[in-house]
Amino acid sequence: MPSPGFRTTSELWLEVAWWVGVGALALTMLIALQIIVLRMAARRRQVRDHAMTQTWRPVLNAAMLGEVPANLPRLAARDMMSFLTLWLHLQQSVRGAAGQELNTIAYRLQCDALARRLLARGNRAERVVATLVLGHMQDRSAWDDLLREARELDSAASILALWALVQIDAAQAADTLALPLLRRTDWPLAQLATILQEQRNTWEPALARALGTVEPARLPDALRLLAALRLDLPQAVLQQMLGHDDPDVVAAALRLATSPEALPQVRAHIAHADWRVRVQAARALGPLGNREDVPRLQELLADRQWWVRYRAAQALASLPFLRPAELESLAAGDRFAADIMRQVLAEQAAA
Amino acid sequence: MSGMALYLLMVHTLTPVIVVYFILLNGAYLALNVLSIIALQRRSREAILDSLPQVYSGLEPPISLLVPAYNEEATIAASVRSMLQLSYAELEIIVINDGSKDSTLAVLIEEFGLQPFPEAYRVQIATKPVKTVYRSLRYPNLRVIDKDNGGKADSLNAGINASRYPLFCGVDADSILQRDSLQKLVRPFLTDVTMVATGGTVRVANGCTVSGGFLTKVGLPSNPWALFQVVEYLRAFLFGRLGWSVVNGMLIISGAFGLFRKQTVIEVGGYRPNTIGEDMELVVRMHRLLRQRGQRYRIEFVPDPVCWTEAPEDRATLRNQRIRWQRGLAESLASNWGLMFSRRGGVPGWLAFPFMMLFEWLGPVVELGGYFFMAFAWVLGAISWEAFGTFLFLAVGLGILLSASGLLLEEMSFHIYPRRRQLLMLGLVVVVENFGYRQLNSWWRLVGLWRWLRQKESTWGAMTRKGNWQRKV
Repeated sequence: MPSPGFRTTSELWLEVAWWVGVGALALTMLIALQIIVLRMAARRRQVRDHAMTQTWRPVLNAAMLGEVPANLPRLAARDMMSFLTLWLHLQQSVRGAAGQELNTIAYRLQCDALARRLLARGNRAERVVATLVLGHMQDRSAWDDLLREARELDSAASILALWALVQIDAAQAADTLALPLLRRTDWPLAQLATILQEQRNTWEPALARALGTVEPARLPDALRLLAALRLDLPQAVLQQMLGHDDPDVVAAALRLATSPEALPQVRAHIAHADWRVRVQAARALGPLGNREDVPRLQELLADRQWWVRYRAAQALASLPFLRPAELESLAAGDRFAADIMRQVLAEQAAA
Repeated sequence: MSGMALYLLMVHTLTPVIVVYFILLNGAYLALNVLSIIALQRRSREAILDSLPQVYSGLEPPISLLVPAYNEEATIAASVRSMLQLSYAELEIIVINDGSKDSTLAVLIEEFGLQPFPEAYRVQIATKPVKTVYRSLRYPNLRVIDKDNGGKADSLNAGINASRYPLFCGVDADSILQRDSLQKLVRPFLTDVTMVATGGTVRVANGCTVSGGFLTKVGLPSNPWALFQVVEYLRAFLFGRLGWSVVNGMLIISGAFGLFRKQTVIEVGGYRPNTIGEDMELVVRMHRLLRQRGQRYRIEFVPDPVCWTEAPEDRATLRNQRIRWQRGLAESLASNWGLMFSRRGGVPGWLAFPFMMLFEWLGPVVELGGYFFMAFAWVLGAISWEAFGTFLFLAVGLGILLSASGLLLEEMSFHIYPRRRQLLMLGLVVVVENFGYRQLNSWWRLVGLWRWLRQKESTWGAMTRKGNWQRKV
């Protein structure tokens, strides 16, 4: 049979296949070229960064020890971002006078003006770096721009702007941003707690006030933030939260119930229908409770939820007047109670 | 119609079908590639944040690290020791000894000073019986569950039962993790309350230098099988998973390293025992059930190279691994048909699932069938040499393009092979793997499909590990 070549019905398809193959080959060549270009650019950047670090790290290290040189090396504009990144890392690792000395260098290089310019007109990466620089330099003249940045939707950039504002003026930042902060759902609680930790006392009244006006849906997270900051809520506010209809709010408020005045309400929640509330009530009773609370906690040892049993056993074990033998006898009537008590006592012994 | 005419008609009908399939398959991957480029560009804007001082408070959600182990006596101690050094504020490590026949448990008891512990073990997901729970005297955050053999999925379920924390991370006992891997994997959970799972990028550890359980220097393997897999992993993770993650359609989170919201996993029933691809099956089931409920959720991929694994270096082990993977894929799709084109299926049901069906599940049948069919047609004279050559040119050309784009994504983002020689070697592999290796892979996947059809019982995968990285500790 003679070779038929491309038959009419499949000719078109094979022609398509040929041209797609040619296109793939051309694209592959383009990709190879782009990889080479990227690699060369990365190499150039690496060399430049290395040279900048070699020059400036000794200068900044000396400055942190209080030895600011009279004449600073020249810093090319294109190396500015790398320099600021290095400067920020050093700032992050020091406290007090060393940080001020780094600021002195930054002022001499007019980094404040540059950072303000970048904050107003830079791309995202530049704005983020500028935000951190201005925060460390406590540059009050950048307040409005930083405030605008903190109100942006960009979660990562805005929370850094909040950090900068707290560094510049914690009290004013608290007055301005306490409510927006509690309203935002995208700022990670863990990061907020870190940012506010050192200024917790300054922020305490503003956060307590904001709690009164924030939407109910945001209350649980707001209370969790207060608990993470180990803040004490005014008793009236705490009682209001402990009496809230939403179990999420009550459970979060119970984390803040650390004073004896809250004891009656904590006890009232021991039999709450929602197990998350019972867990927190059992936990709160550990440090707050007395002999009267032993039967309540004993009842929770047989709760259907593991975490409630566990926290109740921990609470009982933390009561100073109960010995291990008494604890074991309290749990003796129920297999689940006995199991959990054995575990908690073993944990205590191992600690 | 004569037999020859019928035969020619078949050839002329099937030729365009095969050509179109190859174009569609590679076109779909290229579309994923474009999505990945967008995601990586977005990430590169975030990269500046990675290079800046981090705001870590120690208040990130605590994580339970679950390490299922079966006959891992050679590597388990070093693995656990490196996991104990991970940089994360609150972490518990639970090793689940799944009835190992070797001395895995004895090694753990000896190395970490384990003592039986009266744990009030709670059964949230049914598993094979737990014999003893041990707790380390030296490391309070380390526990070992010794249980009857039930497979990897069963072990993970036992680990979930014993875990205390709201997030759990399943890790293969032989994985090498980056010290900050958990910090990276947990980030999406911090900013999005609807996040239910995140998966990290797994890279090939062969050829790298490992010290103290951590990877200290990235290198390329000299073994050709492992070298091919380096490029395969780039393709699979950098545009396979990242592309789907952009549209919330990722159906696979590698069992080697994935972080899950425990409550959600318990609600969907935990890992399905007696499956090979328990990692993929769980993710597909999560999509199916969460979509059925109309619950808002996200499953995200973290492209940073956070986990390194030892790739097989011999043909037999690689073959077994690929057969298992294909069986796992088939099981995962077959047990979750309900997701496909379901009313609330969204991207997973209307795009990702059909894609997996058409290109990953049926892929080896059509790919190998295509090669054989075209070759026979040419040998029997039904098509010309030019036509056959064109088909090969298309198949190989598109294959090279896909691998090259994986390499481009790596160069754009992480740049972890910085030496010129490494780049040249990878460039060479990108081309060479298309002449035999990929076709061999398709054959193994076809065998996997066949075995799935025969429904053979699943067991732990036996993997011949060289463990070179262990010896370098």
